[in-house]
Amino acid sequence: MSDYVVDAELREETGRGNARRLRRSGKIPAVVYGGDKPDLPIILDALTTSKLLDDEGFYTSMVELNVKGNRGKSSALVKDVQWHHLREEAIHIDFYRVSSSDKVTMEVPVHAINHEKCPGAIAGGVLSVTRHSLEVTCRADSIPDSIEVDCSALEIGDSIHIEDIALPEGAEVAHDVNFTVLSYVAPTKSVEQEEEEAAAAAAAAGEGIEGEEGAEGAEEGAEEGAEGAEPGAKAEKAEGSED
Amino acid sequence: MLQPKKIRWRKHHKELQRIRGVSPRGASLNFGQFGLKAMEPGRITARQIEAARIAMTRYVQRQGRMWIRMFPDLPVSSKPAEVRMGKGKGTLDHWVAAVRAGRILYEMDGVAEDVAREALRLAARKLPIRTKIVVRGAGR
Repeated sequence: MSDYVVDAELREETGRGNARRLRRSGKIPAVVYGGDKPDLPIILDALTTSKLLDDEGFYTSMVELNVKGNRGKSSALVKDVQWHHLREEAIHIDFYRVSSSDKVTMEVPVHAINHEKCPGAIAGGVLSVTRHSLEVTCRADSIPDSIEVDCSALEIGDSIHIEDIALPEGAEVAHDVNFTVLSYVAPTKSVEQEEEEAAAAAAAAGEGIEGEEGAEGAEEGAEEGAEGAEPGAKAEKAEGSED
Repeated sequence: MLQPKKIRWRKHHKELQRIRGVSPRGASLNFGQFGLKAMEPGRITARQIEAARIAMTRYVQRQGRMWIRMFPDLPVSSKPAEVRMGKGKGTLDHWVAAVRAGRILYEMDGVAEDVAREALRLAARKLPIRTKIVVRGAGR
């Protein structure tokens, strides 16, 4: 018995116009394919489906599809969800027929745990997740809901690669390359902040040698005055030549 | 301010096709947990991009990370004040990013949700288009 049961109706008309009419009436067009059976266009209720789509486990679990007007139940995996580009609404869903013994490759989300108490976080670092999901190959009935990565020992500059992650039994990563999954990095520093810090450091250093600076400041002022006179003279010359 | 390092042609057409329709790419969060999504098309100048970035970084005070997901690669020309029409196209004035509806403009990570929301709200005030704050969710 699957954790998720989806009631659906058969969709007789296909195409853009019909799909738009369905969406306007609170339905979501979907399709079931895979296995030995032909493709099956179906209609889902938008309200109930949107609640399921908010659940992370829905994407990695076998779903039981009860299609009205079609004999028998079929179990499937959510293969793809198309989202509206502005509203957070699904506009189409693909289901892929599988049996529980099939080996499948699915995207499983990565969750970092214990990252708030790790030495990197205490030192002011930022957790940078390079891969928010990993492709995992396993049996269709034992896909993990998520991959938890323990970050409790990470310092700034440390990273965790695919090989460092312990997966549940029977599951293996489908990537050939040992990618970085997440790392602790120093926070981004803007040019302004660097300038401010440099100015603060200069001011702090200058406090100790105030007397010397005063003398230098007077000299600089005299120099600036002399420089300031030159551009004015040049401008006068330029004006004269135009005339 | 952001601008291309080298250019082939100094002056371009308006290239309005680059802001029409929905964004085919860059419409989902790729790096961070929070983002700012364009809800309408428009042209965002390099100054506005920089102003929004400064507003965000000042609010979060060196915490977290942020990503800018647009680049001002479209040159805009203008004529000087009190010049009659004609006599050719004006000189290069500024650079803009052509943004379609749905595009993610900024992304942010490594800060609490309330801090990120306030920083992105401040950034949105600097932009000439309607935007929305989006959060990474299940399946998105």
